[in-house]
Amino acid sequence: MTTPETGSQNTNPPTPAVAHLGLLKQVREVVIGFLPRQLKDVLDKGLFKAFLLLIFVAVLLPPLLAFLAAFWLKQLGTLDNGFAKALRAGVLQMIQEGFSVEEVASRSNARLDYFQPIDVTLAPKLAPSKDLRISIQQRQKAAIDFSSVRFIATDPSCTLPESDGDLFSVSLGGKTVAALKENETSSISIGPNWWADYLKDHDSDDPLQHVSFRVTEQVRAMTCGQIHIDGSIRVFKDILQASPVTLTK
Amino acid sequence: MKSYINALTSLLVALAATSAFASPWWSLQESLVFPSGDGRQIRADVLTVDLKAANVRIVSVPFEGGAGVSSSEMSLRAFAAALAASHPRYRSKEWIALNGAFSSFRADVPLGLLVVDGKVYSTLSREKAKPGWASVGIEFGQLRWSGILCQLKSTKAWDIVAAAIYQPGLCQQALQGGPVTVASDSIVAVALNEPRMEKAYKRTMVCLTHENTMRLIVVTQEAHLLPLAQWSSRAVSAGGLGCRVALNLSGDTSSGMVIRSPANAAPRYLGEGSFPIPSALVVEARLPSP
Repeated sequence: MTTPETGSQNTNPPTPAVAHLGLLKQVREVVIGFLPRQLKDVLDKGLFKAFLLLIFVAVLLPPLLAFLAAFWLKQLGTLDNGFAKALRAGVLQMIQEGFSVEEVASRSNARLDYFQPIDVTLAPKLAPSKDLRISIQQRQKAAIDFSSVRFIATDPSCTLPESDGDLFSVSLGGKTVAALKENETSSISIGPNWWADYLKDHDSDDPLQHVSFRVTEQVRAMTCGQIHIDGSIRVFKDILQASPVTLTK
Repeated sequence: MKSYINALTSLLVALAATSAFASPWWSLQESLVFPSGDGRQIRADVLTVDLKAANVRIVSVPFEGGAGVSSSEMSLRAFAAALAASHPRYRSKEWIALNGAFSSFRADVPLGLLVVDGKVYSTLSREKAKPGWASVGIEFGQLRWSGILCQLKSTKAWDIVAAAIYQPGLCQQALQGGPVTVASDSIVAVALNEPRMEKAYKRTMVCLTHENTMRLIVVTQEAHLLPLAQWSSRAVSAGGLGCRVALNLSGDTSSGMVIRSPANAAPRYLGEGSFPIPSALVVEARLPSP
């Protein structure tokens, strides 16, 4: 074999390192053969390092930064230090506001905190009212749903009024939220409007702890019958904004 | 000649398959058949009550059976056994019982209007009909439980009225059910797509004819409402039941009829009647006027 540079004949076999490099070159050629044309152009122009840098900045760095941020926030949370805690709270608030975490989450009803069934029986004389124990924080989003309201006779001599009047009222935190009729199905939203209205008269920060059901005076005057109420209370994780609320009804 | 023999054979088979029992105020035709619409023949037992000679009562099963609401749940069979064994009014006489309408949140609590002897035990259900629900027409298509079997307070006549136009105080006795299957003088009130939309069930249906009779229909095979409505609305001369109005009551395992005669120790049961029911119809001979 004659090399063009020297014109001399090289009869020595290639060293293992040279053979290894030659193999790598061949593998590289095979890999490049499978690459898309645009990528081949980048390699042909000698921009491979710039390409790798771009991949690192655009693809690897963002999750790495998020991972590092989460790591250091977690580490800050383990420190029993006022400054560290304040720093952590500030950073978290900035992240929440910057990424609109609450806003995005509140667009769906999927963030259910808890669900409580309603299965209440009221009787005019024996059980004119009943309380259900709940826990709703100030400005926490909730809904009270009624799937069935039935008024039935309890003994053969009992006859029920067929008038269209309200049978019972529902109150939350001492404030009446609805009055319902026989066979009425409805959903009461405890949202921004309700809270704005409620907080006009109540300035306590205590959570609401009861939903109360009370028969109306018309039903109270009866001597028989019972009201059966079926439904549910949904309490969401969303805490509504304390900032000025536009009341739209 | 061959077709004549076939027709004769069919007639003999039909005569052998159906049997009839009668009393001065009721008659029973067992195993009548009607086409299912998908090539099968459905069997039904039909008891016809002469309203001039019989007294029909709508009753609350827990109250009439001697229990209070929520203290006991009774099926038609258990209710009939209680009437036959110990009820002062029914212990020693002939009567017929049919399951009533649907249950509410508990099996012994009626769904919708139940008026017994002028007393309102349960008020009207105004649940809206589903789109494409079985009953059609302006009056009968609005509410899910679209009809009320009603003995009018004013004339004591029986009718099936649309729940959507019911007025309080209209009925001395009333039972809300649905859907209304035959309305306004023998018009089929079931949507044509009902067999595709709904499941087939064993059925109980009550119907009123032009001849002042009430038919109590128990379908012991699973059937859709449309073929049942088509058959029952057809004139008797055309092989139907001649119903001018008809109302679907609770079906499936609730469905059943009981015939009790003092001559026989045990009541006779048609249909399953094994599931607790909130209401029933009880029919007895009308007492002669004093």
